[in-house]
Amino acid sequence: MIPFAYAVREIRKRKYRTAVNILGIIIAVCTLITLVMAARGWETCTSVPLSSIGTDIVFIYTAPIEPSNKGCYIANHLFSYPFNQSLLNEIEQLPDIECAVPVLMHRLRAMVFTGIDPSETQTNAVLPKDVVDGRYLTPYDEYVALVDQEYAALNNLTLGSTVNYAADFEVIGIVEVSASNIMKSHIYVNLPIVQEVLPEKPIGLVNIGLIKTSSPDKVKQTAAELEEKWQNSVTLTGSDLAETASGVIQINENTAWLISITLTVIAVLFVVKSQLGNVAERTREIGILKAIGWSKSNIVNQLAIESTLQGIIGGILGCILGYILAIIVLSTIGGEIGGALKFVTIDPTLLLLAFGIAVLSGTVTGLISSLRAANLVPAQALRTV
Amino acid sequence: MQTKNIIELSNLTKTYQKGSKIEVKAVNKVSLEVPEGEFLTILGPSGSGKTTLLNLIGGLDKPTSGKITLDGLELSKLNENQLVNFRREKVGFVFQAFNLIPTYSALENVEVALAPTDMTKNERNDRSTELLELMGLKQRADHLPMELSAGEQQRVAIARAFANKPKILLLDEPTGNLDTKTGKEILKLCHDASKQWGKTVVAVTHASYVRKYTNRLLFMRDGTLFSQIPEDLEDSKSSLKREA
Repeated sequence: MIPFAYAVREIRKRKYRTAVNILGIIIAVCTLITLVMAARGWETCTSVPLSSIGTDIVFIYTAPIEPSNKGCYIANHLFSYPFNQSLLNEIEQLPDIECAVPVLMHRLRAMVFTGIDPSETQTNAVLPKDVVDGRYLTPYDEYVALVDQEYAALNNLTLGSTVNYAADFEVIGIVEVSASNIMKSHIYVNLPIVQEVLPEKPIGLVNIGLIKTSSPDKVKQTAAELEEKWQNSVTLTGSDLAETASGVIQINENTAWLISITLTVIAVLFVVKSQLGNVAERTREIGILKAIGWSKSNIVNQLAIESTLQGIIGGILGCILGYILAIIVLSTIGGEIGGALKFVTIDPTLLLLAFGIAVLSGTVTGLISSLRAANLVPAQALRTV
Repeated sequence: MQTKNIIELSNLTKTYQKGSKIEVKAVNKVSLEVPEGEFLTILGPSGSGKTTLLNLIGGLDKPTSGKITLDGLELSKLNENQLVNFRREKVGFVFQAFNLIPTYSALENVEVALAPTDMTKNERNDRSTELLELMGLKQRADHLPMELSAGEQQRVAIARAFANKPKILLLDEPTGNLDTKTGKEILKLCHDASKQWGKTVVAVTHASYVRKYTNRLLFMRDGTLFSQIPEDLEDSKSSLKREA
């Protein structure tokens, strides 16, 4: 334990050098955690709005196909015009498309009324998993509705209550829909009933197609193909939605790792240089210690412990600071889709990895520099000015 | 009864390479025997090889050729660990530049020599305090070297040299950075302590007043030892006469 006690003493007494080394490690760890967590948050928040409703692409028309068609605002200030429901059957026939689900969303002032096809239970504006009370719709239901939990609470609606939007509907289910769901509505009713009760009588028309592709890597290509095939149509993917929701430059996790590893290497090299300088400054002292009977291992241990302790301190502070910075960065991303922060949890593996890099770089740096110094002949070390 | 030799040097040579071609013989075929308990002083000008010789005796440097035997141990036959133990247990060094660790207090500078031993923290502390007290520095124990005078710093260095109760004390220009009065005090301290504890002392210096404490005086010039003062060391000769 002698080297440990002396290492602690050196850290306490060489405050400036210690602070410089610890700062280098903090920068490395902090960068790693902030960038990777921010990238993960970004990626998650771009996929959540659609993945929560089992969808990869939202298909809409932002310009009227026929002048008489009345459009409807959907999320993110997008105006969607009705199109023939049968178009979605055509889309479903395309390669790489798993399903194309019709939705008719209608908005009257602050109220949103949505027609869905309840036979679609994997991809839909509201899913059976969202039901918190009562039951989900069936294709045979008529004047019954699912009501959003918050809306129900605000209007004292319970199962069996009546809710009105163009007609009276009995509440058969309360649903909890994530705030990040761009299809979030107040009332969900069977699609044919919505088409029938709305004043415009949009029989056979819908204004949103929810499209699921066969694999996530087909999303971009499929979206482009759809826009090309159906002129004036607009496709929205998760990343499109996130981009409209925030001005932050997108960075994926792989890029984040690459940048942070590069910065970490630079920071570690800085610490190595600083530590080598530290040992070079102490060459004479190392010579004194050898002259009074300290062994090479005593000296190497002391310097390595000193450097490892700096790594531990820098690692802990870097993890805390990195996490705080990541929270700050994440809270600025994806505001309109509910913020990226809530999709990101503390990843113990990432923290451990960052901490491990800090400790390892401290130890390795200490070992490299101390071995060099401890191998000097005492008389030679003592001649060092 | 004949006293045994604690230091035996045989044909000791140390050569340094200066540049790629020039070889400098800092110590040239030196043979020497020092009986246990002797206070030996080697006088010589700067660059005569005194410090190199002392470093070789103390195991701080390795000779190019020749044999060093200290207290029955032949240094060239010791492995790294044995050499560390030798430096810790057999010799105590006092340097011209004091060589104290600037970030340690006086007490810590003495204690650091005891750190690699089996002593407990309290034992180390007690021993260091006792030595500082003997050096008249008890009240200065918590002071950093920069807060001490040159004489006080050298006394801390002497306390450190005695910490592990070595058999041999090696003094490398112990008075070089001190005024004459302090230098004399320091030499007296080393002399008295080594006498009290039965230590063998080898001192290298240019300070001629060292003669007062010396059992034997040798002279060094160009890496070679002389028992009589060489003709060209007239300055030393005259100053020695003055001292006498």
